[in-house]
Amino acid sequence: MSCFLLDVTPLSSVPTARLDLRDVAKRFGPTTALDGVSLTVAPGEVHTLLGENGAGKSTLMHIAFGMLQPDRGSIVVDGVPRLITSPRMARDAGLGMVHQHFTTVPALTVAENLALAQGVAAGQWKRSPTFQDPLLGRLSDGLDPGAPVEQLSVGEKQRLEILKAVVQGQQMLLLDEPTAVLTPGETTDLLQWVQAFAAAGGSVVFITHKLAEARLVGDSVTVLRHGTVRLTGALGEFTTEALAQAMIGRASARTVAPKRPSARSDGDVVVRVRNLQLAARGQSTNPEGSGVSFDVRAGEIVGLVAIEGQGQRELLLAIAGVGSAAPGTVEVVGRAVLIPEDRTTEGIIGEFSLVENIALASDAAAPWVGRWGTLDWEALRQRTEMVVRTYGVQAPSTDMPVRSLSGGNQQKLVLGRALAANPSVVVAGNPTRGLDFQATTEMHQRLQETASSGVAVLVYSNDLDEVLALADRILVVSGGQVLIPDRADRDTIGQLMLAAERTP
Amino acid sequence: MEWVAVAGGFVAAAVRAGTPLLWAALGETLTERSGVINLGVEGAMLVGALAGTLGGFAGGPWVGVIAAAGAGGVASLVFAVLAIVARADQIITGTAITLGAVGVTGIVFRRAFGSTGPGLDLETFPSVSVPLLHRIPVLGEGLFHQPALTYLAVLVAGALAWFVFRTRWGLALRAVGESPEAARAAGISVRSVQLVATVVGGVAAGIGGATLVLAQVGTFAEKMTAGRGFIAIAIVVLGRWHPMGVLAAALFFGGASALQFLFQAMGFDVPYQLFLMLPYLLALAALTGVVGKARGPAALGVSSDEG
Amino acid sequence: MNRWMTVRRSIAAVLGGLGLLAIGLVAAGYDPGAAFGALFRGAFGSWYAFSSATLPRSVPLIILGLGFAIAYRSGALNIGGEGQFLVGAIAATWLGGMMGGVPPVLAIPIVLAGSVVAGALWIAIPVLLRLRFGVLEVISTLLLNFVAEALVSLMVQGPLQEAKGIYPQSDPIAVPSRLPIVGGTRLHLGFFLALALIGAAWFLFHRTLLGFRMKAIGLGPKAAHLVGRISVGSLLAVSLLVSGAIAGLAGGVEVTGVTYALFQNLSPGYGFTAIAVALLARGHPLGIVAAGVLFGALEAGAGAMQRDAGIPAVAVYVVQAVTIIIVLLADATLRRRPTPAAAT
Repeated sequence: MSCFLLDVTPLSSVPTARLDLRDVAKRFGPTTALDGVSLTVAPGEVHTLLGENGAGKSTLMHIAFGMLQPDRGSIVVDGVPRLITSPRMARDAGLGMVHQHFTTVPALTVAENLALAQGVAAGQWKRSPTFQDPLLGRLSDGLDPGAPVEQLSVGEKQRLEILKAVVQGQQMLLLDEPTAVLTPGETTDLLQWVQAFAAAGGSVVFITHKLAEARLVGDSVTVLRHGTVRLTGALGEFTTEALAQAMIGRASARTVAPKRPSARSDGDVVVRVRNLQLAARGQSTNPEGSGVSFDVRAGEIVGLVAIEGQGQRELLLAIAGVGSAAPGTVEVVGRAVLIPEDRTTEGIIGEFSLVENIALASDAAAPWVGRWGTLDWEALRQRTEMVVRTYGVQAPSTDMPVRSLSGGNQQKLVLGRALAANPSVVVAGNPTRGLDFQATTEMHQRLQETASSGVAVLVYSNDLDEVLALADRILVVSGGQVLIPDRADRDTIGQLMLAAERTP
Repeated sequence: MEWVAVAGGFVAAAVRAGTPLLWAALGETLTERSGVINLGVEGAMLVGALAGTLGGFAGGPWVGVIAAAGAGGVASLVFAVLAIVARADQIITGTAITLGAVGVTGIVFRRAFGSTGPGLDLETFPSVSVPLLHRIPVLGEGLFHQPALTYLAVLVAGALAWFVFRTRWGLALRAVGESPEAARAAGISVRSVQLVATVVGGVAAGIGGATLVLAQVGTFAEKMTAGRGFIAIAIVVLGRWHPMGVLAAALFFGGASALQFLFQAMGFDVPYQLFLMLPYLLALAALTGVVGKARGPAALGVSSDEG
Repeated sequence: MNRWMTVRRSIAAVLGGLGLLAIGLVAAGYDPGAAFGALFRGAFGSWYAFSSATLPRSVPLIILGLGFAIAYRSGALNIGGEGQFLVGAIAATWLGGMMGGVPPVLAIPIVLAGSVVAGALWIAIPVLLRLRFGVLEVISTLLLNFVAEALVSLMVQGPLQEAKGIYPQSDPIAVPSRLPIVGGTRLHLGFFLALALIGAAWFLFHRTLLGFRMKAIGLGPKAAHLVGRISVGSLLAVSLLVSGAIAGLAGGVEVTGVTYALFQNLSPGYGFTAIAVALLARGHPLGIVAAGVLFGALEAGAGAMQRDAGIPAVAVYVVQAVTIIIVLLADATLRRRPTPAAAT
């Protein structure tokens, strides 16, 4: 469907663009987020916006949607220059936006959220004429207007987000990484819907960092890096390698490290999970006797994938040995350490210095804890300097708050702290969330080296591609159960991830 | 016949004691629905009580109510500027506002009335009977022979319920309290909504203070609110952030305060201090029983990041 | 450098509070010069004023401020210091009355231990409600202040009323249970006890794993749980219990060191002033001593101000409120300053 659109005349000569961002610049304090970025989207066009974390994609969209004010530049919608200083003005100009994070109100119902998006009272949510539109029907299918949004599945929430964005008849849709939280099947549905929306005359800016996805859905492309446009034009003109190079700024363009050559499967069993009862969302615990059982061996990387709330968090915590114990047994030979899922709230304490964050992982038996529970700060400082040196943490001083480090350096400190404890098992949740390419690559290399040195590594990630690239074998957590895919491809795993949702 | 009189007197005393609490709690309901917890409501009540007294002397009870509304609004505006605009900790700011209100009312009160106090010659609200209904045995006197502010409070409760659940502004208010980010994405100015909800909440608390003076006690004394503002916060929780629930909970606490009257009338010799404790203990018990079952606005007390 | 900035800001906060009080006094038609003159004379005008009015009044503020700060560091708000102080005073009065003939080295520890236990028991109710039912300690500790006030009233008109039964107050506690006094002043052993507690708290927070963990659960409870493997709920309970125990001790010290008896209005709102003390000191133990003495001086001066200039003593609440607010504002402004990592 998108093929013939690729042959569209050069964008600059399209008579009236639907959205035309011209020479937009934005600074945050000393940081330049956008430096003279222009972007044009024609009616019926899906324009993919590529770039690394921090490249300025979201900032650009927030400016277009009136959530941020540019320092310089203009916004032209359907040929009319607009001063958009609030989301409400953006919506009135015909723009709709789906944010990276959900912007529905969990405690309110589907109908109330739709009313909120339209600025009407709760009872009037269906006044919108667009509800006759079959395109909207595809989105609202199966959504109960009276259900609180917190009871919806992730896929349903995402459909509601889009519904909110177009409910007033908006024809210009800004989608900020809309597939990041979806399973492969849900992603396919969404991409098809986007193409149908464009075929009916709508325009879309589609933000992603997945090149394959961009190829599937997009007509044209703009690549941002460090706040400037590195490349723009019809998608068909560029090779994947060229796109990746524009995103990352150097030749090597793989988004994940190459597979380790020597995946060992003959190590000793260091984690033995037997009949562990996991509570998935919406269930109390599983029917008795059907707990989870599996082994993890030294030297292997086991990947865990799941959609939200399937019991994976309890599983990770149980193996790492923190939190209230779920019924069942978990035996760990040696010491298990945890790299928590949410770095900024669970992995570090931002106000604490580097040394204090190292001290956080103390128990009474740690060498720097005295007999009467006193702390030897000098020993902790040495330990911190060792971690900083060994794991390449870039920090001017070990006494500064960890908050002021970049995400990549924070995560290196978290990993270094964990590995310095000589673990036999590393349990990592979303180890590269929010990191840029370089930091992601380094993190993957570290995890692979760790496994190669004989440590068992469990990696859970929201990003299926990351797990596919890193893991020697994959387990799918669904409805409090652990399923073993017979083939390690996206479709097979995607089916299993949804298993519990499909069969209630 | 004796029993009927005692029971009727109890109901009347309960409603009378519950009305100031109801005003303050309705105001706090509005405030908390926007995600702001205002412990300065105690201070707003106190300045309202003093302003009500001064206004009452100057121009009669209604002038007193208007002055009290203004004073409560100003006290909460100070809170709102600090806690919402400057994003200072809400709990501690509220405590500081209450502390400041004690000081300010102390200074102004001594200046206005000297150390002897205002005396008891303040004109208060007369009780107004609802035709026919006030003759209902036992309940009639209590429910339908009350000062105008009592009827007004009940009307305000109904209006607030309609506003919160039936209007688009109410929807915006709830969205702000539940998820400021989502509200912001929907184009709502989170800060403005919280500011207005907090100031209007303070206005209601001020009227509550005036009610205490002009429809219940009849005079002002230092620190006379004695924690009623804090009880109002417990009432909001007990009423599950719903104006009608708050109405019922305020009456319940009014009843707890009126028990002293009931016990004395029935001739029990119980130390009066136990009755002083009772509302606070009940508030604790109420919080214990309700928390966990009912859920408040998700973003309550969390200072929001941006505009 | 950083510390001096903090100290400067704290001083600015107090000056701001006094400035606003001056404006308020002018607006209300008082003579601020006479008011501040009386305030200063009452607090620092003579060695006797300083040692016998200011310092004794700073003792409960320092101890209560420390109690608040300990819970605050762990992320809990104990606004019930006033109530814990009062039940501590009740316990000390009750025990102190029975100490006739007991040597002071035994009597004083017994009486003070009683007040510690009473304070801990009083806060155990909010702790239990928080752990079992999720009731926020802010509200529960606050509500219990009023219960404690009524309890004092009940005691001095009931079981602990003086033998003559005329006034609502207790008989004086037995002599052996009274704290020794520095000759020629009203400065009692409690002041030095407060300093010792401050030293212990400094050691706890800077040198021990327990104190470090208390800070950790305050600043990052999730990280403390997952990385530090700390039982956040239990440690929070410990922290609150210690906070309440210390506040109870403050009540015991007040009875055994100053009043020797229990009566209504024993505390002119020490529990709330102590919140200002702790915030002004930003929880730092030495800062609590400085802020405690400063606010003790305000309390002492307030009495003189009321006596000599006719200004109600509650006016100093304005100073306290404004001080708290300025400190909060300064901290909120600091927090908002963007960091390089956050600006994406």
